[in-house]
Amino acid sequence: MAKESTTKTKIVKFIDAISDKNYAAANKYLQSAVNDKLESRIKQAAEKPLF
Amino acid sequence: MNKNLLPKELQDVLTEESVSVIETALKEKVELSVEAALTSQDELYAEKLEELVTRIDSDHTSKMHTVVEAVDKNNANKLVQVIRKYETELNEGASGFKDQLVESISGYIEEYIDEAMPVAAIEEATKNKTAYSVLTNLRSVLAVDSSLMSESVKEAIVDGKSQIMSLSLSLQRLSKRMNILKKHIIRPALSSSLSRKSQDTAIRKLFILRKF
Repeated sequence: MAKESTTKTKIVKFIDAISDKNYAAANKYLQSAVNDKLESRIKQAAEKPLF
Repeated sequence: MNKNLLPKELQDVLTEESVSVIETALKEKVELSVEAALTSQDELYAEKLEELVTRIDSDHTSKMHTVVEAVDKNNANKLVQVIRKYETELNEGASGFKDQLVESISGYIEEYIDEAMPVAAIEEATKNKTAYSVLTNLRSVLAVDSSLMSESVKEAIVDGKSQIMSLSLSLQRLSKRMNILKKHIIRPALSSSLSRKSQDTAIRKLFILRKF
Protein backbone atom coordinates (compact mmCIF):
# COMPACT_ATOMS: atom_id res chain seq x y z
CA MET A 1 0.00 0.00 0.00
CA ALA A 2 2.83 2.34 1.02
CA LYS A 3 4.69 1.44 -2.17
CA GLU A 4 1.63 2.31 -4.26
CA SER A 5 1.32 5.70 -2.58
CA THR A 6 5.01 6.31 -3.24
CA THR A 7 4.45 5.47 -6.90
CA LYS A 8 1.51 7.92 -7.06
CA THR A 9 3.65 10.59 -5.40
CA LYS A 10 6.25 10.04 -8.11
CA ILE A 11 3.58 10.37 -10.81
CA VAL A 12 2.41 13.64 -9.19
CA LYS A 13 6.01 14.90 -9.20
CA PHE A 14 6.29 13.80 -12.84
CA ILE A 15 3.23 15.94 -13.72
CA ASP A 16 4.66 18.91 -11.77
CA ALA A 17 7.98 18.58 -13.57
CA ILE A 18 6.23 18.40 -16.97
CA SER A 19 4.25 21.53 -16.07
CA ASP A 20 7.48 23.33 -15.17
CA LYS A 21 9.09 22.07 -18.43
CA ASN A 22 11.75 20.36 -16.31
CA TYR A 23 11.97 17.35 -18.59
CA ALA A 24 15.08 15.82 -16.97
CA ALA A 25 13.34 15.58 -13.59
CA ALA A 26 10.15 14.35 -15.31
CA ASN A 27 12.13 11.55 -17.00
CA LYS A 28 13.66 10.60 -13.64
CA TYR A 29 10.30 10.41 -11.84
CA LEU A 30 8.61 8.48 -14.67
CA GLN A 31 11.47 5.97 -14.78
CA SER A 32 11.25 5.52 -11.02
CA ALA A 33 7.47 4.98 -11.18
CA VAL A 34 7.85 2.35 -13.93
CA ASN A 35 10.58 0.62 -11.88
CA ASP A 36 8.28 0.55 -8.84
CA LYS A 37 5.50 -1.06 -10.83
CA LEU A 38 7.88 -3.64 -12.33
CA GLU A 39 9.27 -4.42 -8.88
CA SER A 40 5.81 -5.01 -7.46
CA ARG A 41 4.97 -7.35 -10.35
CA ILE A 42 8.21 -9.31 -9.88
CA LYS A 43 7.52 -9.58 -6.13
CA GLN A 44 4.03 -10.90 -6.82
CA ALA A 45 5.43 -13.48 -9.27
CA ALA A 46 8.21 -14.52 -6.87
CA GLU A 47 5.72 -15.15 -4.06
CA LYS A 48 4.09 -17.92 -6.13
CA PRO A 49 5.41 -21.40 -5.21
CA LEU A 50 7.75 -23.08 -7.69
CA PHE A 51 5.85 -26.42 -7.72
CA MET B 1 -50.56 111.34 -31.55
CA ASN B 2 -53.66 113.42 -31.60
CA LYS B 3 -53.01 116.97 -30.29
CA ASN B 4 -56.63 117.32 -29.19
CA LEU B 5 -56.10 114.82 -26.40
CA LEU B 6 -53.81 117.29 -24.61
CA PRO B 7 -55.12 119.97 -22.27
CA LYS B 8 -56.03 123.34 -23.86
CA GLU B 9 -53.11 125.16 -22.23
CA LEU B 10 -50.67 122.68 -23.74
CA GLN B 11 -52.46 122.70 -27.12
CA ASP B 12 -51.74 126.45 -27.28
CA VAL B 13 -48.12 126.08 -26.25
CA LEU B 14 -47.06 122.95 -28.16
CA THR B 15 -46.96 122.66 -31.86
CA GLU B 16 -47.55 119.49 -33.84
CA GLU B 17 -43.83 118.94 -34.27
CA SER B 18 -43.06 119.36 -30.61
CA VAL B 19 -45.82 116.96 -29.74
CA SER B 20 -44.43 114.44 -32.15
CA VAL B 21 -40.93 114.97 -30.74
CA ILE B 22 -42.25 114.52 -27.24
CA GLU B 23 -44.12 111.49 -28.38
CA THR B 24 -41.00 110.05 -29.97
CA ALA B 25 -38.99 110.80 -26.89
CA LEU B 26 -41.58 109.16 -24.72
CA LYS B 27 -41.65 106.16 -26.95
CA GLU B 28 -37.88 105.88 -26.79
CA LYS B 29 -38.07 106.29 -23.03
CA VAL B 30 -40.66 103.55 -22.80
CA GLU B 31 -38.66 101.32 -25.05
CA LEU B 32 -35.57 101.86 -22.92
CA SER B 33 -37.52 101.21 -19.75
CA VAL B 34 -38.99 98.04 -21.21
CA GLU B 35 -35.58 96.96 -22.41
CA ALA B 36 -34.09 97.59 -18.96
CA ALA B 37 -36.94 95.75 -17.32
CA LEU B 38 -36.52 92.87 -19.72
CA THR B 39 -32.77 92.82 -19.13
CA SER B 40 -33.22 92.80 -15.37
CA GLN B 41 -35.87 90.10 -15.77
CA ASP B 42 -33.47 88.10 -17.96
CA GLU B 43 -30.74 88.45 -15.40
CA LEU B 44 -33.13 87.38 -12.64
CA TYR B 45 -34.34 84.42 -14.64
CA ALA B 46 -30.77 83.56 -15.59
CA GLU B 47 -29.76 83.56 -11.93
CA LYS B 48 -32.76 81.48 -11.03
CA LEU B 49 -32.07 79.13 -13.92
CA GLU B 50 -28.46 78.87 -12.91
CA GLU B 51 -29.51 78.10 -9.36
CA LEU B 52 -32.02 75.57 -10.67
CA VAL B 53 -29.42 73.96 -12.91
CA THR B 54 -26.98 73.85 -10.02
CA ARG B 55 -29.57 72.24 -7.78
CA ILE B 56 -30.54 69.80 -10.55
CA ASP B 57 -26.85 69.07 -11.09
CA SER B 58 -26.25 68.47 -7.42
CA ASP B 59 -29.37 66.29 -7.26
CA HIS B 60 -28.29 64.36 -10.31
CA THR B 61 -24.77 64.09 -8.92
CA SER B 62 -26.02 62.66 -5.63
CA LYS B 63 -28.33 60.31 -7.54
CA MET B 64 -25.46 59.30 -9.82
CA HIS B 65 -23.30 58.73 -6.76
CA THR B 66 -26.01 56.49 -5.33
CA VAL B 67 -26.35 54.64 -8.63
CA VAL B 68 -22.60 54.24 -9.00
CA GLU B 69 -22.33 52.96 -5.44
CA ALA B 70 -25.15 50.50 -6.06
CA VAL B 71 -23.57 49.32 -9.33
CA ASP B 72 -20.17 49.07 -7.64
CA LYS B 73 -21.66 47.08 -4.78
CA ASN B 74 -23.49 44.80 -7.19
CA ASN B 75 -20.37 44.27 -9.29
CA ALA B 76 -18.28 43.70 -6.19
CA ASN B 77 -20.75 41.05 -4.96
CA LYS B 78 -20.65 39.37 -8.36
CA LEU B 79 -16.86 39.47 -8.35
CA VAL B 80 -16.81 37.93 -4.86
CA GLN B 81 -19.08 35.17 -6.13
CA VAL B 82 -16.81 34.65 -9.13
CA ILE B 83 -13.76 34.50 -6.83
CA ARG B 84 -15.48 31.99 -4.53
CA LYS B 85 -16.50 29.85 -7.50
CA TYR B 86 -12.97 30.03 -8.90
CA GLU B 87 -11.45 29.10 -5.54
CA THR B 88 -13.89 26.19 -5.17
CA GLU B 89 -13.04 24.96 -8.65
CA LEU B 90 -9.37 25.44 -7.96
CA ASN B 91 -9.44 23.56 -4.68
CA GLU B 92 -11.96 20.80 -5.40
CA GLY B 93 -12.22 20.57 -9.17
CA ALA B 94 -8.49 20.85 -9.74
CA SER B 95 -7.79 18.33 -6.99
CA GLY B 96 -10.27 15.89 -8.55
CA PHE B 97 -8.79 16.46 -11.98
CA LYS B 98 -5.29 15.88 -10.60
CA ASP B 99 -6.34 12.59 -8.97
CA GLN B 100 -8.02 11.51 -12.19
CA LEU B 101 -4.92 12.41 -14.21
CA VAL B 102 -2.67 10.47 -11.82
CA GLU B 103 -4.97 7.43 -12.07
CA SER B 104 -4.98 7.68 -15.87
CA ILE B 105 -1.18 7.86 -16.05
CA SER B 106 -0.87 4.97 -13.60
CA GLY B 107 -3.26 2.89 -15.72
CA TYR B 108 -1.38 3.79 -18.87
CA ILE B 109 1.93 2.71 -17.30
CA GLU B 110 0.32 -0.60 -16.22
CA GLU B 111 -0.94 -1.23 -19.76
CA TYR B 112 2.41 -0.28 -21.25
CA ILE B 113 4.21 -2.72 -18.93
CA ASP B 114 1.63 -5.42 -19.73
CA GLU B 115 2.31 -4.95 -23.42
CA ALA B 116 6.09 -4.59 -23.18
CA MET B 117 6.67 -7.27 -20.53
CA PRO B 118 3.80 -9.78 -20.15
CA VAL B 119 3.04 -11.31 -16.75
CA ALA B 120 3.82 -14.79 -18.14
CA ALA B 121 7.36 -13.71 -19.05
CA ILE B 122 7.92 -12.23 -15.59
CA GLU B 123 6.60 -15.42 -13.95
CA GLU B 124 8.84 -17.59 -16.16
CA ALA B 125 11.88 -15.46 -15.33
CA THR B 126 11.18 -15.61 -11.59
CA LYS B 127 10.65 -19.38 -11.83
CA ASN B 128 13.97 -19.76 -13.64
CA LYS B 129 15.68 -17.66 -11.02
CA THR B 130 14.12 -19.61 -8.15
CA ALA B 131 14.94 -22.93 -9.82
CA TYR B 132 18.52 -21.82 -10.33
CA SER B 133 18.89 -20.87 -6.67
CA VAL B 134 17.29 -24.19 -5.59
CA LEU B 135 19.64 -26.10 -7.89
CA THR B 136 22.65 -24.22 -6.53
CA ASN B 137 21.61 -25.06 -2.99
CA LEU B 138 21.16 -28.72 -3.96
CA ARG B 139 24.60 -28.79 -5.56
CA SER B 140 26.16 -27.42 -2.42
CA VAL B 141 24.20 -29.87 -0.21
CA LEU B 142 25.01 -32.94 -2.41
CA ALA B 143 28.58 -31.79 -3.09
CA VAL B 144 28.09 -31.98 -6.84
CA ASP B 145 30.78 -29.81 -8.34
CA SER B 146 31.88 -29.24 -11.91
CA SER B 147 34.20 -32.30 -11.92
CA LEU B 148 31.24 -34.53 -11.12
CA MET B 149 29.30 -32.95 -13.93
CA SER B 150 31.80 -34.05 -16.65
CA GLU B 151 30.68 -36.69 -19.14
CA SER B 152 33.12 -39.44 -18.11
CA VAL B 153 32.28 -39.09 -14.45
CA LYS B 154 28.61 -39.16 -15.34
CA GLU B 155 29.14 -42.46 -17.20
CA ALA B 156 31.09 -43.87 -14.25
CA ILE B 157 28.32 -42.83 -11.89
CA VAL B 158 25.67 -44.36 -14.15
CA ASP B 159 27.75 -47.53 -14.48
CA GLY B 160 28.27 -47.72 -10.72
CA LYS B 161 24.57 -47.19 -10.18
CA SER B 162 23.67 -50.00 -12.63
CA GLN B 163 26.20 -52.28 -10.95
CA ILE B 164 24.79 -51.46 -7.53
CA MET B 165 21.30 -52.18 -8.81
CA SER B 166 22.29 -55.51 -10.36
CA LEU B 167 24.20 -56.50 -7.23
CA SER B 168 21.31 -55.62 -5.02
CA LEU B 169 19.05 -57.72 -7.25
CA SER B 170 21.43 -60.70 -7.07
CA LEU B 171 21.69 -60.18 -3.30
CA GLN B 172 17.93 -60.34 -3.03
CA ARG B 173 17.88 -63.52 -5.10
CA LEU B 174 20.61 -65.06 -2.96
CA SER B 175 18.91 -64.15 0.27
CA LYS B 176 15.73 -65.78 -1.02
CA ARG B 177 17.68 -68.95 -1.89
CA MET B 178 19.32 -68.85 1.53
CA ASN B 179 15.98 -68.68 3.21
CA ILE B 180 14.74 -71.63 1.18
CA LEU B 181 17.87 -73.63 2.08
CA LYS B 182 17.47 -72.77 5.74
CA LYS B 183 13.88 -73.79 5.71
CA HIS B 184 14.18 -77.09 3.83
CA ILE B 185 17.72 -78.45 4.39
CA ILE B 186 19.74 -76.84 7.20
CA ARG B 187 17.06 -76.81 9.91
CA PRO B 188 16.02 -80.50 9.43
CA ALA B 189 19.68 -81.57 9.29
CA LEU B 190 20.46 -79.67 12.46
CA SER B 191 17.49 -81.11 14.26
CA SER B 192 18.42 -84.68 13.28
CA SER B 193 22.06 -84.27 14.33
CA LEU B 194 20.97 -82.73 17.61
CA SER B 195 18.65 -85.65 18.29
CA ARG B 196 21.48 -88.10 17.48
CA LYS B 197 23.90 -86.28 19.77
CA SER B 198 21.34 -86.17 22.56
CA GLN B 199 20.85 -89.95 22.27
CA ASP B 200 24.63 -90.49 22.48
CA THR B 201 24.90 -88.35 25.62
CA ALA B 202 22.07 -90.31 27.26
CA ILE B 203 23.87 -93.65 26.59
CA ARG B 204 27.09 -92.23 27.95
CA LYS B 205 25.30 -91.03 31.09
CA LEU B 206 23.89 -94.57 31.68
CA PHE B 207 27.33 -96.14 31.19
CA ILE B 208 28.93 -93.79 33.71
CA LEU B 209 26.20 -94.41 36.25
CA ARG B 210 26.66 -98.22 35.96
CA LYS B 211 30.38 -97.86 36.60
CA PHE B 212 29.67 -96.21 39.94
